[in-house]
Amino acid sequence: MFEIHEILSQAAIAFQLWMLWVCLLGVTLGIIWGAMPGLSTTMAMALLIGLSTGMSQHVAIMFMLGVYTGSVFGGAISAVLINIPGTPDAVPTMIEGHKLAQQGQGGLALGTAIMASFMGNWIGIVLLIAFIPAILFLALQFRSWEMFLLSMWGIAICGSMAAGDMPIKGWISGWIGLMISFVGVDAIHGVTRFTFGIRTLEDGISYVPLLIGLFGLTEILKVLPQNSPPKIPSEVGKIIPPLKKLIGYSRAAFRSGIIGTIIGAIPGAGANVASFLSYDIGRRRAKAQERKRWGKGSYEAIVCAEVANNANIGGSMLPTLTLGIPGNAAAAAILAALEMKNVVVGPTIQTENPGIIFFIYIGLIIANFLMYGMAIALIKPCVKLFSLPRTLLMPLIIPICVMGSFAVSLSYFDVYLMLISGIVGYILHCFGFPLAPMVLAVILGPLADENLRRALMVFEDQEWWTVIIDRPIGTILIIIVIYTFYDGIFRRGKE
Amino acid sequence: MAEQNKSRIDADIESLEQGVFTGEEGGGERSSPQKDFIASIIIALFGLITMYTSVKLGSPADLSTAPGLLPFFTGASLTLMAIGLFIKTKRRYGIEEMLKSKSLKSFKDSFLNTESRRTLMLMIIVGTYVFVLGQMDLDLRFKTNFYTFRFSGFELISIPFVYFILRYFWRSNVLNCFLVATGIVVSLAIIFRDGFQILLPGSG
Repeated sequence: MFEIHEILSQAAIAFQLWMLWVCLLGVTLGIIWGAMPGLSTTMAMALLIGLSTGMSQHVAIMFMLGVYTGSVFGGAISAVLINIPGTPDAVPTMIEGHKLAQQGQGGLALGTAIMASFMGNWIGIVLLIAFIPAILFLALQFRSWEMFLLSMWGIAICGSMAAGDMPIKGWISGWIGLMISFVGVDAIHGVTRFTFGIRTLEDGISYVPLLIGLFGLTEILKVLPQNSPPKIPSEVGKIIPPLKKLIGYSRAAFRSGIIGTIIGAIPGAGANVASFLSYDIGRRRAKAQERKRWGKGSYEAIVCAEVANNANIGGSMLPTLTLGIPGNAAAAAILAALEMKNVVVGPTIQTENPGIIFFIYIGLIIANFLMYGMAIALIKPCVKLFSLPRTLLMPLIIPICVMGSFAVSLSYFDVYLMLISGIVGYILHCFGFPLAPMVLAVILGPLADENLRRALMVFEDQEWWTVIIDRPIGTILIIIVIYTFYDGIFRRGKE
Repeated sequence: MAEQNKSRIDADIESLEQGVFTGEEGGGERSSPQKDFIASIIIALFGLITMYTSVKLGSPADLSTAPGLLPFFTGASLTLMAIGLFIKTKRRYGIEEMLKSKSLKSFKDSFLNTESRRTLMLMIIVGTYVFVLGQMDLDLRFKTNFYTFRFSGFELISIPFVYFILRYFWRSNVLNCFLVATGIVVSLAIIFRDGFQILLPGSG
């Protein structure tokens, strides 16, 4: 009864005209941003955190959800029409969609991608709603020891997932992030750590400027110096695909939705892994007739990739909301926006912020409907945008990076931090180190540090084997952490 | 860099064709044995320095609550990972390949290629912009009956900066660059300052 009242009151807030307008703005910005080659979802999310600082709690959440939903789809537009994926997860869509565009079916390919994205979002949202109560119940059983192990597993798995065949590079990136998170005053004894006499560092390093630097400025440093002329878009033509055709792909869509959501829930594995994996499994599972079309322009392949990368949104929100561990770098930006608006994420989210979780569900649903409408409306204007060179667009983002990082705590130190992290991020990128594990570790570092020491205080008079027996969840987590490292070192290394 | 980005997409396409897992961010195509060798040395040093600094933090109470406890273990495992990276690279490419130093000429050529030069130039420009903006403290207001026009250090520094960077990278004519720079910076200032009530850097 309490929950129904809570859902209705949150729905009343979410369906206010102003809220819908903000969500529409977020979705529109997200689609345009995602459609522009070189501008990724994470970059959009990181930069727009700054803009959300001036918004109220609900408005900021609605805005960020709109941007997230819009930008994940946006990548498909440039992938199909100019053969450059707007976001990396749109590579499978690019392979298939552009072949269809060359055959004069670009509009239908995009229409299929829109419909698939819409379905993917739905699957992600439904699974998010279905699994949150169970995960929250489990998370409430966690004590300091389990929280420490969970944080360490989050960083380790993120490293494994982000770096492909060199998980060690992902772990190194994560461990550097841990080091960054230790800077400042220690929470238990009040001792200053790694500040080197700089007073500003005593407050610690905020991860929002770091996020803006690593995913905003680093991207600019990567893309702007390239001399790439704008490409001429293919013809769009008819957009809405026949319903009968789509129903034929419902099985593939459902399977891809589940893959996308599960991948999204694993820290560090985001839309890229989801769409690639789903595309690969889809090809193996496709009927012989359809399989021949893969790589030459297959609608089913587009469905697999787009359903998976959009279902990933709901999946990534699962650990973010229930455990405070972001599912990917874009979810880390959502986490930052939530924390800036005093929303405490984690096992106690429902008691400390009653109703906010329902607001997020409703926000995702609204954003999904608006994404569907705006995607159809924006395809043709987006085609015109592709004729703009990146050398014109990228310089305009630099002041946004500066404003965004300054807006977080009105400290110019954060702007310097953004600059340094942008340059360091670029150097790490050139050396082949992924950046997402670093951000995740900066977020999880304080949690790991505090909980480890608390747990050790609790275990002071206990034998180690009693800890193993008395704390089964902790023991399972230890096994999972060891397996993650084993898998990365021995199995993936051999591959 | 254009080559690198192109190869990321190519690497992704190749991995899709072969069904090989390349990870969320990939990275293999950007690395080289020499780079991994340099990285492993720097990271090992970083880990060792962290361990030393963690020990120096001391312990106000019990060792289990020492502020340097997790930093020490993080530094130690970082050093181990650096050794692991070194061993893995050695196994993959061999020690000769790792230690093969590029000739001074090829290093000079790669450093002075257009894209590297442009990246370095961009870093310097952005660094200068951030530094100069940090020194500014200006907020001029012109009140009219219907609106208060404001001109702050943000606009004063950002307009010439964006103009300069557009001229360097976009290479359009003076008027186009100036109009785009002014239009965008003023619009951003209005959106952030008036629309969302966010204080801008350089405005005191």
